[in-house]
Amino acid sequence: MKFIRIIVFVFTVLVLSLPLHSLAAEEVNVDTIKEKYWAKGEQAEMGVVQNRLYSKARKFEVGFYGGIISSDPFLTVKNAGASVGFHFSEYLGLNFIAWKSYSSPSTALQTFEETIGATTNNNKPQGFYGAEGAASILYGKLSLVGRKIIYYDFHLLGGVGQTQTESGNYITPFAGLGQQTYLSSFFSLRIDYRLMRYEETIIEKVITPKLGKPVGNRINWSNSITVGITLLWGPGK
Amino acid sequence: MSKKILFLISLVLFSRAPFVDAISAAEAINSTGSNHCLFSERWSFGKNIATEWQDEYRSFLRGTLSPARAFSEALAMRRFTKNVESRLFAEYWISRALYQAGLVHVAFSGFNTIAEGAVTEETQLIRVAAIGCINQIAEKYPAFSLSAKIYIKLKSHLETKLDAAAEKTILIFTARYFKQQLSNGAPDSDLKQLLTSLERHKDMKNVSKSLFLAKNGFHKEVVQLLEPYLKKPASQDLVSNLVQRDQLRLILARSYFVIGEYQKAADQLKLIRKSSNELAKALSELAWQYLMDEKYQDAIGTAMSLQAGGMRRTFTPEALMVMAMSLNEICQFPDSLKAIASFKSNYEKTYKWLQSWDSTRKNGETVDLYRSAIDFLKKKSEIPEHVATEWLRSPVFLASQGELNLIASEGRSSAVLGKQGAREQKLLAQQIRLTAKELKPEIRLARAKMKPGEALPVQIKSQLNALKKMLVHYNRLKSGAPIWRVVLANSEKQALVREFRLIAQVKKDFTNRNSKMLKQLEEVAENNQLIEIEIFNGATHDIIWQNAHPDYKQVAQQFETDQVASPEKSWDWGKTRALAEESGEIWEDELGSFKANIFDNCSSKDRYLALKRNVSI
Repeated sequence: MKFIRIIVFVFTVLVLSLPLHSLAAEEVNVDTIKEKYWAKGEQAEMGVVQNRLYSKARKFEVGFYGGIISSDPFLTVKNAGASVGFHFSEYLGLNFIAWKSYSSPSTALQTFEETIGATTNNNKPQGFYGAEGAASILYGKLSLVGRKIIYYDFHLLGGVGQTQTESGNYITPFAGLGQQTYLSSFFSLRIDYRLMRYEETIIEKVITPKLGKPVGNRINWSNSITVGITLLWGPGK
Repeated sequence: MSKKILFLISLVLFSRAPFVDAISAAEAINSTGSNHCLFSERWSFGKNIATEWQDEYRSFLRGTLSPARAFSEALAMRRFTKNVESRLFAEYWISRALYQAGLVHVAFSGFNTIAEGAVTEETQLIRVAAIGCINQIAEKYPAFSLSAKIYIKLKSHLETKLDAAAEKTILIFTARYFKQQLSNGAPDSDLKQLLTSLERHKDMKNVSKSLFLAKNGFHKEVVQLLEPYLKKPASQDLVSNLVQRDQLRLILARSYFVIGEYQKAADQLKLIRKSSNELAKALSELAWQYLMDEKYQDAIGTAMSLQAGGMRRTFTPEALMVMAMSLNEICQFPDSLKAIASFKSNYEKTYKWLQSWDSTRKNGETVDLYRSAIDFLKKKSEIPEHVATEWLRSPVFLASQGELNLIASEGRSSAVLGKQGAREQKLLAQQIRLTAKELKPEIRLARAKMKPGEALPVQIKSQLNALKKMLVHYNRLKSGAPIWRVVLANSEKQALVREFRLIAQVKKDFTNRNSKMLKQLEEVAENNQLIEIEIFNGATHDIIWQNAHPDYKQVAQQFETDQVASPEKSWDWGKTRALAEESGEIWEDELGSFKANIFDNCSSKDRYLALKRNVSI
């Protein structure tokens, strides 16, 4: 009797387990194919652009650029640097940037020195490095004087870094915007504008007894414009 | 739990049930709710529902009462209350708690039982609330089968005076039930009967009727009903929640096509949204409309849209055939042949796969089409894209997979909910123990200070009441736990049966689709052969004719450059690009109806001859 019960039990278990193996229902997201089923639920093709010609998603980007920084009216500052970043999607990316600044007296300072016969205090920026997030919110085609179609990407920037100056290093938050024009799937021209803020200490350079001593702090708002080329590569399309 | 706490529990239990129905039926005003089973659900309770239950239900709606607690409270309400309305509301609450817990199938059965019951003045609005919840579930999961027993009861609802919201709920259920019956192939007599129930809502009735008429081939009547409805601006009305406007446009366009109104058909097809799953079919049909209307350039341009970007993955073999026909009509014979060749190369893999599937099926072997579709979505399958995308767009697959996903999520919820209930019971017990411990010295102290005949201070009394309430809730939770566990276990058991039914449904649908695709490909291939024969005949004449007129090519090219730019949208795809593999970037506004910039070679010949005649004169 016990043996029969065991057989019945084993049989029941087998019968009940049969549908489990033959069914094999799986969970898949069908919300993405309720519209544009031809995109097969692929996020890159769900938007208004399918098969993006110039794709950034899941790609690394290395850039080389130079530019100008408008900071102290008595200084002319030029910079040259590089960046390396990764695009998590077509819309979001993270960059690490660094540049070296080349400062010289501006024509305003030269005129001042020639006219007054004296000079002023300043704090020459020497370089900058930092990290920034980029949000690419616009992508489109533009007509170049009606002759050619160029592909355009507009992004917003925001980040934080450190500005190196003669008097020390200062934490610098910044925000900006920029645009990229694609030359090919790998190369693009990039122009960025960043508004940067840091609080700097001014060191005395004019009055002899106080030379080299701090004479006060001031907020520095720098406007940086950089132009360069970028190289995109990676596992993305 | 300590003996003292158990004593307190028994004290509370043996005392009169705290939430008794003290109100006689004569005083009762019935409870009514709105936005059933939504976050915004609100109730205005009648006197039959005791205030305490009202408060508990409101805290459940606010989310301060967990589904497990709400379930146990509702069970207690069901046990303690005597009047019909309260008992039915308790049943509604039980189902509502299960729905909130994510156990949609069990909740659906509960709502069905409520909605199928006899309609009386006391129960009507709660039954309507249950129907409202069924509507919500059916909207999210269209594969849920609606009960005929509820439909039978709807008459009784409509015979009474209902407010606008309740009437809307009833009508939505009727329309949904009608749609389900129509796709299940219910007899015409039943469907006609259902349509009479929709008389109260003109648009809903007209749209439902048009679906019925379209199925039976009454196209003039479909036009009469759908044309005025689709002329109205799109809004979130009752009808658009039931049938998408894109689907209605497609139906209307087909009816226009049958009655020969090609331009009107094309106009409707052009209005279909670019993101709609109906777009591929719409473009294919639009190409046909243009061909029938002898607008060959438009037919070619539209067919070209289906060769661009992701649209190439859709199963639309007729588009290339229409392109070949149109090119043949304007004497562009080499391009017409290229379109046929393009069809052969694009659909060869699809055709071979379908043929092999068909022979496997005829040999009695089975291919797990559901698994293949899932593998395709997970990029693990080699199924041709044309076939797989045709499966994916299937409303049966979308609805069934939605429900399969729900079953999986219910399985996960069951495991979590069981633990949650036990944890909540434990926490409540701890809380009771702590409160009793704190209260004991306070009572002792108060009693010591009390003079004979004096009552306990108000503060202590209220603390005791709170403790009593906690004990009541604890007890309810404890007695509800076994039932809660049984419900969860049953839900898991039923899941297998449901999965089996849904997968079988999907497999059947895929099999039908495969057979249709195979048949369609064979038909298109046959038609293409006929076009090829016609082209070779025409081309032979063309070669002879062109040899007889050696300067024709030069003159025809001049005609082409003389063409005035068309004000319509014109897609200059060129001869080679039309047939090449299009892998470039495609923008949503680039899909749709375009006019191909290709000249009519036949009319060029007429113009050439006219020119020659003028010169000789």
